[in-house]
Amino acid sequence: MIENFSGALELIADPMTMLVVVLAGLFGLVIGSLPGMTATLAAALLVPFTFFLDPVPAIAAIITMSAMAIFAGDIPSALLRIPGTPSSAAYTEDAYALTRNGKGALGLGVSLVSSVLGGLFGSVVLIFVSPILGEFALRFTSFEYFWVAVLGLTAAVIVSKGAQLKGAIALMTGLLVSTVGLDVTLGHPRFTFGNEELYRGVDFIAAMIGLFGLSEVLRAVTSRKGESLPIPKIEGQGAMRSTLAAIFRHKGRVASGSTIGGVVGALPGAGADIAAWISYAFTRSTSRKRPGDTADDKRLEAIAGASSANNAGVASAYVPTLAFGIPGDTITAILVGVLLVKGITPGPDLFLYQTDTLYSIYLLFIIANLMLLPLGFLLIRASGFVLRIPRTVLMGLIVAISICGAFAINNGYLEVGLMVVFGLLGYLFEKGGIPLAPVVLGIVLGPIVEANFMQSVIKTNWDLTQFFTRPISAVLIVLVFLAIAASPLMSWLGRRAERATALRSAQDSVDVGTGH
Amino acid sequence: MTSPETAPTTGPVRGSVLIGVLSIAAGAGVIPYGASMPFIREGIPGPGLFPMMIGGLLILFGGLLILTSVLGARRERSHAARLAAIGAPVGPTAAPADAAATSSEAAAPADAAAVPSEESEDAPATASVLDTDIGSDGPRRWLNGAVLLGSIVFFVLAAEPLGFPLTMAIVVFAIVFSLRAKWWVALATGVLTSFGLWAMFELGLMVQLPDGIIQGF
Amino acid sequence: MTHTPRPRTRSLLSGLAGAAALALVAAGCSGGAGGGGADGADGDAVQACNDINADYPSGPVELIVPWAAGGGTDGVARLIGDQLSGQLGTNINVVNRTGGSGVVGHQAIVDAEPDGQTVGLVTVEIGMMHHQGLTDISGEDLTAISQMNEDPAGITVAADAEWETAEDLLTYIEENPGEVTSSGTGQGGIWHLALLGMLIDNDLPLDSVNFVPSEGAAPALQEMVAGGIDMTTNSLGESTTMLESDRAKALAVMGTEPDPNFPDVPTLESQTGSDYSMSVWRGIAGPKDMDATIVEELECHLGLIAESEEFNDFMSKSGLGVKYRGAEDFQTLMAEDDEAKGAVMEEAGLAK
Repeated sequence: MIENFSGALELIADPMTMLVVVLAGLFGLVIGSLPGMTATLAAALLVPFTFFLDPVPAIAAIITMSAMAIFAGDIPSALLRIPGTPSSAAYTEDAYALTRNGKGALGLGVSLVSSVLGGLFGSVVLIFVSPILGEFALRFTSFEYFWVAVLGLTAAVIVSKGAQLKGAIALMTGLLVSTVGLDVTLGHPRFTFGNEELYRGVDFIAAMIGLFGLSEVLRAVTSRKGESLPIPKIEGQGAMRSTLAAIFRHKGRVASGSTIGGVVGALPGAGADIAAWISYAFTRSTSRKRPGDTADDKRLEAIAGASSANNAGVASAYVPTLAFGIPGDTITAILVGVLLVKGITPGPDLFLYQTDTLYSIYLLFIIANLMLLPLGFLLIRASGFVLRIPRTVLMGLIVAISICGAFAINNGYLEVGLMVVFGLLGYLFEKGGIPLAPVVLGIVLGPIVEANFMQSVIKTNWDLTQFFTRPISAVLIVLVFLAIAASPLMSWLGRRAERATALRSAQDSVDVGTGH
Repeated sequence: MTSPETAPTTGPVRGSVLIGVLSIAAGAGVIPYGASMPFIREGIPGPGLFPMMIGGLLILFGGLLILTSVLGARRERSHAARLAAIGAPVGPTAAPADAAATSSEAAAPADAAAVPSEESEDAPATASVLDTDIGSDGPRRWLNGAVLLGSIVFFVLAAEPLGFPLTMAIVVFAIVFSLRAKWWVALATGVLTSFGLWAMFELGLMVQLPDGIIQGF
Repeated sequence: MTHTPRPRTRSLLSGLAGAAALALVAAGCSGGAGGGGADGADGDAVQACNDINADYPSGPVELIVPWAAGGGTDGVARLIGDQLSGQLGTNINVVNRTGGSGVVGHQAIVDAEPDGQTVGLVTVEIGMMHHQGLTDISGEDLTAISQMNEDPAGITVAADAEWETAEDLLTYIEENPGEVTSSGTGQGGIWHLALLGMLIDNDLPLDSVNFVPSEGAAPALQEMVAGGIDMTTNSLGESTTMLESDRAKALAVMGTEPDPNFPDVPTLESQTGSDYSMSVWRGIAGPKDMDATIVEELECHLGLIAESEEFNDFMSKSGLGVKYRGAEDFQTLMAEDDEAKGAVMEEAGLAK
């Protein structure tokens, strides 16, 4: 193994490769921090450049770029409340609340360091257990995918925090939105009202920008005098130390988040998006009340859990890619294409005959994640300037960038229009106390749930027992029920107990009073 | 936000009931639409199955929301009445409010306070921040909201004939100006933003933006 | 980074983005073997093509792709765009217009100005979607320029499947109707059609194979390897990684001759005598009524690209076949294909 690494090191220590790594990293950070621009789009933009590069720098460009872009998506999420990736939508509310409380740099710092740690953990998973984990992931059929996606949906229960029924309604809204477009079974247009542009369905990025970002701007401009709170500027120095302290405090969360990300992320197709939500839900629901904890500490804890899962998932999405050539997500799908063009066939051959390339891919993951640390801190510092822009100007800027981002999704105006619709929807939902995150969850996971359900019933001619009799399914079902039952039960019991104690203490004080 | 399901006042209850009614209405609208879609084979539903299931769940959750918020309010009222009957030293209205607040806090330890006004008590001192209050009073608020959404709709309609740089400059100018910025600030922001984004997307990221009347890039 | 204009984060970011992109271009050109597209083809030949219409192109050319960024079609389009850009000496902007099984992007090509500044990568779906009632447009609304690629459908089964030949499989299907499950695309997609056409041609009832819609070849193959379905009918190129890692085996190819990338896989005809063939193709076309000299110039350039080593290398490594047809032949192909697919869809009840 050591000699493999030294061979790989030679491939990487080429100045050309290092230059590509740095430039692709910067490119990823810039793209990721723009609302609406995704790592997938960035990877597609990189493809023509990789034609001219040697295999290792070509792979390096895509790996570094995607690791950076995924983290950078947290920046607009924390500063402007516009989530950069579907998974960062899980903790957007928490990150934004921290920024409003003047702890923006701390929140982003925790997110950065947990991303790096999660990414490193994911790389270790990739290096050491790829073949085993890949084998496990290959046993997932549409039945298991259905249950994994349902498990992801149960995160809605947790993100709705005490308003579960409204959260459920929000989730249903998201699921309903996800059915817009041509259906998977017959290609029948649903909710398109004769508009061919709507055949492709509602893009979740446009929906996210609208629901979170535009609704926030709308609320700000329609606020009463004195109601629109200025956002405190991001503290500069000292953030590093408190970040590390917070990470140390929540090290258990980083570990559990990384594990969840490492395992769930390895499932081709759905993994990385679902991982952060499941980890968020897990962190929130198992969070213990410790003395002296403030709401902000809880937020940091949740961010640590979710963003470590996010980046661990990104790395382990490469497990099925490298082991069998099955793309784990759209970025790895692009990478498979690049690898094939470069004469490298992902799969067992890579492990047997092209170990230098394989190990340089491993090393690149580690380098990319380590490089994320300094570059990420620089970006956090730089992004603080956003909050110094006068808010009148900032509002215009946010709208302008949002329009560009929505337009760039498909080079069309439909997404810009959808953004407006979802902006209004988000505004109204918040007025009614309906949480927004479940809507995004529904839009992202709806197609996965439906497609896998329909595939399962079509291939078994509606033999529903298969959903329950498969071993992996059974485990997943238990998890789903635990996730659904735990939270409302706890809050109901808590509320009952609370009321009982209030009554008892009142009775006691009356008793004491009469005892005199 | 205080969880409206446990809040004792009638306002949130009415809000929840309204949401519940809207949810039921949406569900009731979706089900017939889903049922009208073709089947895969005789007796095997296809495209319509999921919308119908979602519609059913919308009705279910809407109904439950109405039920729990009405029952919750009644329970809190009877609880308050019982407290009052014992003659608790605490004011009969204050006690349940406290209880509700703490219980919802227990259910959700870090309730995200999305409404800014509720965050105010733990917001740090922000005097150091150079900033402007962009809020307004009276109908001006709604005008600002209309300018915001209207300008995006304007972009959708005008970007193709007028081209990106001009349209975006107008959009940004309108929004910034509506928030009471000086006209030259608004103009400079509009022009700079529009040009900067144009340069970045068109030249840097190679994303095509509508050219309109300005050709030749 | 010391100057302080007000919206400086934006300018800073855009500067960085620009710098990163430009530097990547520079890095790419200096470090690459072979360099840009212009060097790939013979300079004189390129010049001869450019001389056909001296006024064309005026400004950047938009290349519309009806499928998502990052997919196989997108990769082909970006490579063609890159080489064409070098030969024409202007920017080619690849624009993805996705949605509705390709309807949106094809519609955008049809709706464009026929001045040659907007062309598109047309795929086989142009001859299918109007039969499904999704749109009114067909190949007749386009000006064909050049076909660049063609891949026949294949039959892929899991490595541990009991069938060794297509003959085995078809016999099994005949004896156990409704038991075998197949996938590869969505309902009414090209590989679904391939399956139905094969069944019709072998006199098997349409419902003797249970078709499970999927989001594309990759998820279908994953499902097959996991044991969820029995076979897929996607092109063999799409199964490359699965075939090479011995998780799947190819039984047949539904073409008139074996796939050059998979010479060992026999044709369906050689096994069952059924001369049925079904393939996907990709080509460049523009809106109707394009100027003849512009078409000729583009056709000339694309012909050079189809012969270039760079293009052929990319295509064969991506598991895609190169098939060049000039403007006239391509237009004929679109018309014939339209008719053939319409017949199958009519018989299968997919047409509306």
